[in-house]
Amino acid sequence: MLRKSKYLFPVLGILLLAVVISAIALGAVSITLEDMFAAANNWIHHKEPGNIYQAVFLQIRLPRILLCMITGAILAVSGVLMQGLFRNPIVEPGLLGTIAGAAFGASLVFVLSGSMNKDIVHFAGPMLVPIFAFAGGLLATAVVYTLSKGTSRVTVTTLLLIGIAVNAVGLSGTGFMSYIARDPQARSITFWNLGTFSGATWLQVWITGIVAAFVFILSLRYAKQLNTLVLGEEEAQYAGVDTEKLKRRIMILNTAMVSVATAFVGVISFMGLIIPHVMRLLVGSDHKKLIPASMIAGAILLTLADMGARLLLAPAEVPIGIITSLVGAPIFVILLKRTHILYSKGGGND
Amino acid sequence: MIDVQHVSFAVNKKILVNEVSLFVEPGEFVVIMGPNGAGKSTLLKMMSGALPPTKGKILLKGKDLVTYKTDQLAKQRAVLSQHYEISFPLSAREIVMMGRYPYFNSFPRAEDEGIVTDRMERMQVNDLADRSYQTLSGGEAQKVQMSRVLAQIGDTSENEQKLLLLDEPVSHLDVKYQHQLLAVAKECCKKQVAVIAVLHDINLAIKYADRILFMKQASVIKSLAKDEAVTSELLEAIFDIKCNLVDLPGGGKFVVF
Repeated sequence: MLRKSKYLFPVLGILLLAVVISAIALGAVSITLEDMFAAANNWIHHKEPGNIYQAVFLQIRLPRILLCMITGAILAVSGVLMQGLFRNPIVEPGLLGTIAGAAFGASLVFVLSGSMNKDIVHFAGPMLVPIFAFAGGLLATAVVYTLSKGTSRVTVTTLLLIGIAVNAVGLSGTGFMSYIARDPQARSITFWNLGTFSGATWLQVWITGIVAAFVFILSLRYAKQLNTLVLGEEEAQYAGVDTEKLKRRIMILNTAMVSVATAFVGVISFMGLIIPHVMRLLVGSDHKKLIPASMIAGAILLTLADMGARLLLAPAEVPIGIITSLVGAPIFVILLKRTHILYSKGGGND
Repeated sequence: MIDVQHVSFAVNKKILVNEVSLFVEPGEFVVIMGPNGAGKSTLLKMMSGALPPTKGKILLKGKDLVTYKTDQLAKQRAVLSQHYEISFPLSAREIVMMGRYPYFNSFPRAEDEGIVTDRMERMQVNDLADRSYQTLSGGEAQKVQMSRVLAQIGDTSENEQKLLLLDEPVSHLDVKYQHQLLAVAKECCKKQVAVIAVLHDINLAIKYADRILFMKQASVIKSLAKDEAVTSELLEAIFDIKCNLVDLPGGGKFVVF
């Protein structure tokens, strides 16, 4: 029997609310519920924040937590889309080279911004890293897609293998940049590769939020087609799905959302891998339920992880990627051990 | 319904199907037989639209098969394949519901739910509805897939004729369900569906087919109509193995290899 509870979505909703409120409240500065309401009230009436706590809430904590939720949702949904497209439960959002390309783009800025045109550096300001990361992500994915196109149609296996190859190139590019970097630059590269939400701004929230909203609505429209793909590519075609078109669209959606999210917060590992697994256990593999469930669970878990990042070694901050990997990896292994029956028959590759 | 005109398929200069022509009307049950590698599945794949012929053309309802869009075609014909590999756990009913996907937008209508229940009843797999597909036996899985394909055919009528293609549909089934599945397919024939099936059991073919197409080395050797008697010479030429025909008490022949 597949476990499916009608209470799942209400429970997820309540959890999300609880996690968000505690994430706002706890930190270097504690913020009370009254402060939150007062700050919101002042903001609605276009008044300045009443005290330092309200200012911290509005300018620092809230954008950070929103960015966290959006990024978590993006990574989780991206994991669902990629796993569905590749019919493989161990595929990650970065499979198509997007994240490795973004990391390389960011490392270029860290190491070479000193020798770049001063006007450009000044003009782009804090957006310089995100712009390069975004461009790097797009470029790497475009390379993967172009290379895998080959003769006539893109087979999923070639796509996967070329993705691995381009990832390796991106990684060695980042490695080379770290090698020629001076010490502080090398540290920046390392930190970026472990992810952080400490610099979150409202602008970042708006950009990722708008992209995420578009992508989520579109990916729900492809839920049915992704379900059919579970039967295999040929069967999906018999059932009326234009699989070539579907592949292209999913890849575009995935690249857009992953490169935007990664550009602002750096590399956050394991989220996109683990959440679809957990949610598949709870709601089954029907993408109509799996996509929204993963979206909410991604928001909850990444917000929790960021809370850990802020609180564990307070006042210092642990890079969030360390937490997601350290907690995520063992959970992943336990889940695989417990659920191997689910995937043992016919699961996995083409 | 389907008009196959001098169709050939070759890959790397190896000819898999050579100059085959075939015309099937709704209500007809055609069985394709032949040894391994005779080109049966390739021919079926071409008729499904998944494989464009390298020579000749196939018309479905008078329109060239290659001009159909994927989603249009899904409402005209359904295909049962030999093997299924499911990449993620889904329940049997969720699998059968996929047969209705071409017909609704986001959520299944009452009509779709009804058809799914009905087709699962016909294949006697309703008690498996909530079971995870990956825990089903080979035979159970085949019956569930047949239900899905029947759901995709949907309700048919004089104005709504469809094509059902079955590639070795009984390979995993026990004797009872081999007959049950073919009887269900035969029932479809009565409701304006043209059925084309690849089978390996000559006795099943004789019992259910209106016409048997014997293929060997990429070509059709013989098209045997219902009223024509099967001969041991023919079978020996096709399958390269000695056989005997036994007269059945109620008339007809039984083939023993």
